[in-house]
Order: sequence, then C-alpha cells, then structure tokens
Amino acid sequence: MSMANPHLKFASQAVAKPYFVFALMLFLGQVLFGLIMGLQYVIGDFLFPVIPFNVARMVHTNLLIVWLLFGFMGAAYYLVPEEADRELHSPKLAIVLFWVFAAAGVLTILGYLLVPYAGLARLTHNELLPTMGREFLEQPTITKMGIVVVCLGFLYNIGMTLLKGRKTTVSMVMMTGLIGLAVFFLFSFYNPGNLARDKFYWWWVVHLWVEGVWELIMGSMLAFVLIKITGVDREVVEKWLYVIIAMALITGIIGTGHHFFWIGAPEVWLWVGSIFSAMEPLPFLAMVMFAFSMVKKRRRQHPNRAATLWAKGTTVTAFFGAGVWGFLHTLAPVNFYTHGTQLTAAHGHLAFYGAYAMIVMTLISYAMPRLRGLGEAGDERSQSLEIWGFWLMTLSMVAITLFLTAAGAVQVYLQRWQVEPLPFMGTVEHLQVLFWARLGAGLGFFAGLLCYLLSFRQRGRAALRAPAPVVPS
Amino acid sequence: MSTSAESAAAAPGHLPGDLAMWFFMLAELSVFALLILAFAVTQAIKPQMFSDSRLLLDTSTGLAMTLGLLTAGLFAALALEQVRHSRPRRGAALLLGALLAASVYVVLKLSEYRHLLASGLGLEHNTFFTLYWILTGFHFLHVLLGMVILGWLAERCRRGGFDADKRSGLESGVLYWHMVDLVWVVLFPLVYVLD
Amino acid sequence: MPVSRLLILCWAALVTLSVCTVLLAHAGASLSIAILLVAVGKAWLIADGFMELRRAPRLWRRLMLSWALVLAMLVGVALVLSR
Repeated sequence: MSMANPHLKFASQAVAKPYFVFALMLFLGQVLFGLIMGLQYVIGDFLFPVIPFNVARMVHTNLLIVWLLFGFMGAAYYLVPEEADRELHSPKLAIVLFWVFAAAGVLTILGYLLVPYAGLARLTHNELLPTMGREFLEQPTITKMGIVVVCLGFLYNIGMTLLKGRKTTVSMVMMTGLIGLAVFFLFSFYNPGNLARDKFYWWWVVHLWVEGVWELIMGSMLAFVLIKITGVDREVVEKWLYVIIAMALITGIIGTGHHFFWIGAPEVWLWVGSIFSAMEPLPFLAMVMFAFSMVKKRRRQHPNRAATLWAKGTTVTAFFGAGVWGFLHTLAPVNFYTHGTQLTAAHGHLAFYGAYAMIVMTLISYAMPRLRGLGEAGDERSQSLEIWGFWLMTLSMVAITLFLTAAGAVQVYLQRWQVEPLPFMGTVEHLQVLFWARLGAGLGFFAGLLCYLLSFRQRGRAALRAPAPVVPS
Repeated sequence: MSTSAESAAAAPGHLPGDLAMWFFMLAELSVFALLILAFAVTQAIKPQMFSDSRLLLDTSTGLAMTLGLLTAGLFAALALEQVRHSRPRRGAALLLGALLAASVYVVLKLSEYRHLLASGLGLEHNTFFTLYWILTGFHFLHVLLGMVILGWLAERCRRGGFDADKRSGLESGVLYWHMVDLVWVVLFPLVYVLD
Repeated sequence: MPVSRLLILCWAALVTLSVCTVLLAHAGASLSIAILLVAVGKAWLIADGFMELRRAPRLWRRLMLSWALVLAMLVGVALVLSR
C-alpha cells in the first residue's frame, strides 16, 4: 500500500481490498458446505459423524452472513471516501478491525466444526448471557459481542469520514442502512424464554436486515456503481434512490408481519403480513427499472462490461428471487401450506444470491481492477471469464431455485394437502430425483464461482484500450 | 388578475412537486388500495358481521373528521398559492391554519379510538375491527407524518425558505397532504357508511 | 377566476359531497353505488383541484383519477356480489 495507486481517487480506499478478498474466500467456503449438504440430502450419512447436516447447515448460513458483512464493509470503505470527497478517517482502524473480524469469524467457524455445539456453548460461557442456539444467530455470545465492537468501530470510521466530508444521498443512504444493520443486530442479544416471543424478536434481526436495512445498502451500492459506469447525472440517480428506499421501508418494515403467522402472535398479523408484503416486490421492480434505464441513458461506454452486467443482473435476479419468489408464499392462506417447506429454501437461495451476493460482486467487479492498479477494467480475457462466471452461477442458481420449488410443491402436496398426509421422511423419499438435480446445479454453481475467481488471475497485463466513443442514447 | 394568477401557477403540462414524490405517492396509494380491497372483499364474505359492527361507529364523527382533513387540504393549497405570489408570510400563516384543522381530525380520531377501546372493541374483537384498526391506524400514522411535514413547511416558509421560483419542496409536501386526503375520502364511506 | 377562489369552490363542493354521503346513508342501504360515485367525485376534485392535475401530464392525471375509479368499481363489485 506504500506505492500510490493512480486508479484510486483516495489512497485510503485501498483498505477495501482485504475485505473483498476475504469475503470471496468465505463465499467459496459457503459454496463448498452447500455442496456437502446437497450430497447429504441424498446420501444421508455422507461425512457423518465428522460433519453432521446441522453443523454443515450452520456453517453454510453463517458463512453467508459473514461474507456479505465483509462485502458491505469493503463496499463502504471503498465508496464512502469517494462520495465524501476525502480520505477515510482512519485507514489503520479499518485494517485492525479487518483482522479482528476475520480472526473472530475463523475461530467461530472452527468452533462449529471442531467442538460439539453444546461444548462450544460451555466453552464460551453461554450461560452468562444465553444467546446461542437460534437459527442464523448461532454464534457464541462472545462472537456476537465482537461483531458489535467491529460494527461500532466501523460506523465510527465511516461516520467521521462522512461528517467531515461531502454528504451525498448515496453515502447517507448507505450510512442509514449500516446503522440500521448494527441497531437491529442488538435484538440478537434478547432471548426471551417464551418461544413465541423469542421468534417474534428473532425476526427483527433476520427480517429487518434482509427486507429492511440491507435493501438500503443494496440500493446505495447499486446507485454508486451506476453513477460510475454510466455517467448519468447524480440528480437523476438520487431521485430513483429516494423512491426505492421509500418503497423498501414502507413495505419491508410492516411486511415483517408475514413472519408472525403461525408462531403464536395475534391473528391481526395474518392481515398485516399478507397485505403489506404483497407490495414487497415493488422496490425490487423499481431497482430493475432504475438499472436498465440508467444503462440505456448512459453517457459513456465504460470498459468494464462485466460490472455493467452484474449491476443489471443483480436487480433482475433480486426481483425474481426476493420479489416474486417471496410473494409466492407471503399470503397467509398460501403460507398456511407452504411455510417451512423446500419452497422457503428456493426463495432463500435466489433472494440471497440475487440481492446480496450479486450486489457485492457488482461492487467488487467495479472496484477490484482499480484496487489492483489495473485501471478501469480487467483485460478482455479476464472479463470474458468473469462473464462466464456470471452466467454459470446465475443460471445454476435459477436451476437450484426451480428444482427446490418443484420439490416444495410436491412436499406441500404429499405432506400437507393430501387427505392422508405422509410424514416428513416419507415425503423426502419422493423428492430424491429433484435433490439429485439440485446437487447437479450446485456443481454448476461451483464451476461458475471458480471461473469468477480465476478471472482475478490477470497480472500486470494492464488493459490498454482507447477510450470508447460515447454512445448516443 | 386572472392571467397573472394563471401564470404564477404551474405551467400546463408541468407536474407540480418532485417526481420522486409522485412515485412515492404511487407506492403509498397501492398499499392503501390493497388494504381497502381487503376490507371490501372481507365485507362481501361476512356482510352480517360488518353491518352489525359498523353500527358501533359514529358516522357524524366520521363526517367531522372528513371536514377537518379537507379544510386542512384547502389551507395547504391556499398557502402554496400565496407563496407562488411571493407572499411567504401569509403562506406560513395558512400552513399553520392547515395544521390546526388537521389537529381537529387527530383529536376526534383519538377520542374515537379511546371510546372503542373502552368498549372492548380492540384489534382482536372481530375481523371488522381488526381491519378497521389496521386501515384507519395506518392512515392515522400518515396524517401524523403529514402534520410533521406541514409544520416543517410552515417553519421554513416563515423563515423565507420558499419563494415563487423555489417552491418544489413546498409543492411536494402539500401534495403529500392531499394524498392523505385522497385516501380518506375513499376510506371514510367504506368504513363508516357502506353496507 | 383567481386560483384561490377556485380552491375555495373546490373545497365547498367537497364539503357538500361529504354531507351528501351521510344523507345518502341515512336514506337507505340500497344507495351504495351512489355513495361510491360520490366518493369518486370527491377523489377527482382533490386530484384535479388541490393536486393541480388538471394541468399536469396526461399519464399522471389518468393514473390518479383511475386510482379512485378502479378502486370504487372493485369495491362496488364486491358489495354487489355479496348481496
């Protein structure tokens, strides 16, 4: 980091690089554990007792959350200085926090894999402040506290940069989203003994993250990349951003109701949840229109074709995954039959990949060539490899989603709809073919990820291209 | 007078306020449309329960609330007109008038809520009241937000923050209030009157 | 006519129509459709008068006007079907 990188506006943006690199390493781990589980679905005792299914699942989902957090933090460190038009408040703090977070993350995952979960709870003195044992929030209490400390330091660093610098809509929205992320995480420390109440507040973390504040983060990251690659006026982009945020917040916050259906909460949530979440596809639809109209109105032909593709792709995939596949089962009468089936898994996969994995990769795709000193874009070969990765991963994920949707439909019929329903394990017997197909699609995804990672192999072959002519819109 | 008044107003083919505000209103109106439809469809399924429960609501209170909201809308629109003629002080006074009219609605609505709660007609009483509370409660929150906006506009207007050329923010805020009115005029007959 | 007077007229019409709604309700339950029409009329007065859509681009005006109309029609259908 000693040599000045001419492709960065501010030298301190370079701290984003380790965050991105580590995020992608964790992503690779997540996909590997996904494959292990995909195999366990069809060969039940695969790797048993070394990695039981529940542990693999925990690692798979926790890695997802942590790599996305690394991605968001990297994105913030990259875009906030550029938006604020000044150096980051403290690059040193950013690097220290990186190592703290990375070490805590690795230790936690190793804990999951090497120690039985109950032993891990004892080892980390969960009894002092019991927060473990809940889906996605399995982290030992001490890790959760570490996350809070890292988030506070991170917010302080970003916040000071913003306060001293230029305040743009993009960076303010990003900041709001990140503060919301930190605030809602605090509910993971609240663990009432009553299971219904526990679930009620558990959703405040899980739902208000992915269907609330994370959408703000996604919106601002998308807006940032679109401003950069299309050269469209900031004013136009900001207006779109306002609309998207307003819709995301109206529908997302009250839409939490669709999680309160069958957990012991009052009946009113059936109405609130059904009605407000019926609108949740709207902000994602607005993002699709936003991305495509900005690219159409572009003032310049950006050499980074891959980043443009990611930006468009993330909105479309998010619209289908989060919007359409979510709406498929948020109406209470439908959800009565579908909750907790493979349909939920289908929605979860396409939504997380489309909305959050892809937006992080959009930003990485845009920022990495600059961070690595290659210029605005990688060379032709690495870009086409990246585009291969995009299509392989996206199409494989669509295939996974469709197979899981089919599995979910069969499951609902056999297990819930029939006059004489089958028990769960009896149902699973009938889904074997679909699970094999899903595993195949998972391998396709893995291949796509490898293509994507290999596209970073380019070394020293700087992209020397004449600036492309401006395309009339 | 007439021609100058026309020229100071929005030019033909021009959308008052910020485009973002229109998209936002579109989103809000869609949510309300869904809520209203849910109410109507449930009424069609359970007509007896709905007409019995509706008798427990006071139509004349509903009418008074309507008048409060509409009067606030009038004052807000008049305020905008004054600002367009570069009379921001009068505009500020009118915005305060709008705030006052809106608080009539708030007082009436709160006393209605209190009365219903005291009679045990809460959210969980029956499906009619579940939907009544969701629908009017959501609207009530919008009124409160609208009042915050009106108050902020009045303060900014008083300080001379708007004038004939710089009024997009004022237009957007006033539009938001009109949207709250627009929802109410459909909501009021459906909840209080239609059997 | 000065715009301010137009706005006051618009308000007066809205008040009259609101009173009409209540009078119609007292006159009998068979007048549901009339009540819905009055509601549409009020919504249009707000849209065209207060929100100044009469001079706005046609698309936005149509969108706002049809919001109330379509909604009232759907509500009307639901009510008629329940009879």
